[in-house]
Amino acid sequence: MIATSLRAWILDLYPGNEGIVLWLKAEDGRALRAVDRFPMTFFLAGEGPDLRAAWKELAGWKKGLRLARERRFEIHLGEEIDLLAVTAPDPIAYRAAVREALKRWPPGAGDGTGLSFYNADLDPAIVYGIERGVFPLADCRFTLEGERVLGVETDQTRWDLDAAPPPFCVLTLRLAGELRDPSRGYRAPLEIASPAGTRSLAWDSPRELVQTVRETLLAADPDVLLTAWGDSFLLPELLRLSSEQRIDLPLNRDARRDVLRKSERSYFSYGRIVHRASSVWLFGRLHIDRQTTFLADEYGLDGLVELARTTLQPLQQVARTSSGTGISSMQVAEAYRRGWLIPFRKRQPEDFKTALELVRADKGGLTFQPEPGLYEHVLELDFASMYPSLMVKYNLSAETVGRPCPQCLAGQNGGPAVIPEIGYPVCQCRKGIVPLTLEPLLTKRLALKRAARALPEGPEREVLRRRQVALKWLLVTCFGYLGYKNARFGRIEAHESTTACGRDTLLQAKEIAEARGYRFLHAITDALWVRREGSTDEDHQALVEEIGRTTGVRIDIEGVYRWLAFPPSRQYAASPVANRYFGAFEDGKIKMRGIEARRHDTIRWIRDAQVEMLEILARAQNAAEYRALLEEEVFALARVRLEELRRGAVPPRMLAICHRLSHPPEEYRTNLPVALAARELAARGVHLAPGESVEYVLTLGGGARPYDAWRETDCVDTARYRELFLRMLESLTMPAGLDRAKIVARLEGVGQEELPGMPPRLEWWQPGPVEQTDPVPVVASIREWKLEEAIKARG
Amino acid sequence: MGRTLVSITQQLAQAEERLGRYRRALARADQKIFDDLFALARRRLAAASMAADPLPMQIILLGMLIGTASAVAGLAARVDALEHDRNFPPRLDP
Repeated sequence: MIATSLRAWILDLYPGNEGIVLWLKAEDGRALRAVDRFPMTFFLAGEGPDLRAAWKELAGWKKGLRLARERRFEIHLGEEIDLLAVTAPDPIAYRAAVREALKRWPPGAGDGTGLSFYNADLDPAIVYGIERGVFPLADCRFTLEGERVLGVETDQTRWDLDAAPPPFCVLTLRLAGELRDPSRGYRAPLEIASPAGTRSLAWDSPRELVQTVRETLLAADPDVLLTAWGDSFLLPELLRLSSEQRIDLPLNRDARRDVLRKSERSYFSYGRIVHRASSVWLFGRLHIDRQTTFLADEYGLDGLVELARTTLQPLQQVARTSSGTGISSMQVAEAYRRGWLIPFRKRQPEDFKTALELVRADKGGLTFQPEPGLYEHVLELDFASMYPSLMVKYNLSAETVGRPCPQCLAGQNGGPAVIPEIGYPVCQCRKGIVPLTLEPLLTKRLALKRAARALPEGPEREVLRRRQVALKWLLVTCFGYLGYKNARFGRIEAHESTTACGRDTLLQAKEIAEARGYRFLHAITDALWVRREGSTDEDHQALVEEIGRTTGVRIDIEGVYRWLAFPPSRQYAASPVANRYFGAFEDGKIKMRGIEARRHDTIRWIRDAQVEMLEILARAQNAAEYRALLEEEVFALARVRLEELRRGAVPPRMLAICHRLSHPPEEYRTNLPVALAARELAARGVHLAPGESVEYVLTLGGGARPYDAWRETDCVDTARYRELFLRMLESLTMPAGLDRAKIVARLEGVGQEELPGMPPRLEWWQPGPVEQTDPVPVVASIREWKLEEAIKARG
Repeated sequence: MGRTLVSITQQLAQAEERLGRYRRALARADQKIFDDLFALARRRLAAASMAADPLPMQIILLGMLIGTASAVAGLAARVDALEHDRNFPPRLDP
């Protein structure tokens, strides 16, 4: 057979019996299958006699395993160790051999053999990428002999900025109309859109439906199948109908493989229950379900392609895993590339600490609570990727924190770095795996951000934005992974060091700002809000330059607010809530965090109203205009919206409350609205797992009806919705000094008295001298300690 | 975050809760001052967290003291300003 040369993108890759199966998208648009023979190796470590005994036994297994002696670097020990290398001829045989070896020599079984496993649970797709110097969706040159890959090379790297995505042929499948979960009983015609056009198909003629889907698949031969609820409903349902009607549905391109279905699961993550829907994986074609894709709305297909390229995970996998898996894959790839051993099930207990050391170290980022109120001319500063930058700067990694090497201790490379506050020494001689992974990622994200900023507003800029946002999520997760007990390269001391460095950096920034006469209003972990009467752009630039220079971490000006509001806490009226604020920048753009319009559990009617109100308030140039616009326009709008609610003119879709289930429906003991709705859905035969969401509308008499079961005769409980609306309104009015009683008075159209001017203010939190440099902040306090009142009350 | 220890924010909330019966027995006007004192401590949580003191209540009390002293300083500055601006007559001897 003659060898041919071909330029193609790597669409997908997965392990097969003969090696790695690759699906290539050729320049001319053809999709073809190729196979690369690919042996894979795992390692056993232990005492000499144990390794020799294992060798003898493995040699008798007759599975085509190749055995060899090797020495490789173990990062936690900081030195090379003796190993028995076991090489299987292909990825499937590798997995089988590992499974069997683990059964024969269970790690930590305590039977005296004491063998440790390394490189024993590697993802073949990632290892293939590293070994061949390629990655998913890379533009490559292949030398093929039939299906067999003889060689592959690429000029691209994972870090290229201008890599165009492959020319995907996309076919979309969804139900017509609004996006609603079909597994709750919602049905609409199936909409199938290919480059040839869009067709709408009725479910009541299944034969025709399956036949048409089949024909469209064959005609378009798409690379990507983009669906809404394809994982949990559309594809399983289509497969069911296809077997019922005995019509073959070519969802896979690889005819040798069946469609892979993974079942749903619920698990705890960060103190809440999360539900992962079942999933449908295709071979040779990429199925992406926008409903199950992690943060699909935030970065879309462009972000997914970026993630697949940088993390080396195939696109279908990236679309169904969290960014934690992404960062973990990158660390494995980096260690593998350097020939370092990759620990299997890590055994890294926490180091011993005294109680006082624990009190010092076991803390997160620093939060300075803001004083509730309305402020003018506020500067917001954000450290760029603070934690990852600190990990790189201080070389924070599982194997470097608290483990200075002998050269380091002898004073080479300036000796070990010492972590502020907690005093852990950090090795500076050997770069840690975590900084090694993060450094190129930080550089790439910064470059993408810069490139985006250089472009005018438009689709090209949007693509760059999405790509950098996808990378941002990797950077955000990498910190959590340092402290995660199951992370291969995680260790709690490295995690603690990161937060300690973060606290120190934030305090340095605070000190610099205060020394320059700024008043410190609020700070959370890596962002700070400061103000100084009459400060100019040049002053701000000088401030960030000094902070950046002193801390060694880049800090950017997020913007200057014309006005910025910190609403008070509902629980403690005199206290604010961290990370809950909204304001208008000088260009009129609104930024908000933590208020109703940003929260996922806010109903659309309220969210839309608040956004509309904020758009009105964005016109305010200062606090006085803010108050005037509240009086003149916002209350008028509120009256209109509440009147619409009273008249029943708000559609139930706008009133549906979305709530995540923490238990299966039958385990709810109370009659909370969510329990009522979940029980009703369950009674209708809908399967609900913990972590899934239900949508319901509050009805008269304290009831709740699932939105999917809404009937024309149901009555909306307007009183409860009015209450939710007033709470939303309070977020906007409280910083300006208008509490519930004043809102209600204005909504009834009474008490339109002139707003009192600024009440004389007792500065409880500011000692005199600072006040003199920064006179009377424009703050309407919510609640003050009225000394006169207190004295009067005591008689 | 899988932390081992109770954060300072939680410790403050717990301290306030523990003193619930004490607060109940206070006169209404004093209850308000009790709440305000805790608000002063709550505003200084970042500093309390940096203190990493094994006895958090003393740091909470310190926060209240600093808040009160700061208020007194503010009042003193206001009194100075008022006396200066309005040319207050010299204080008469009793």
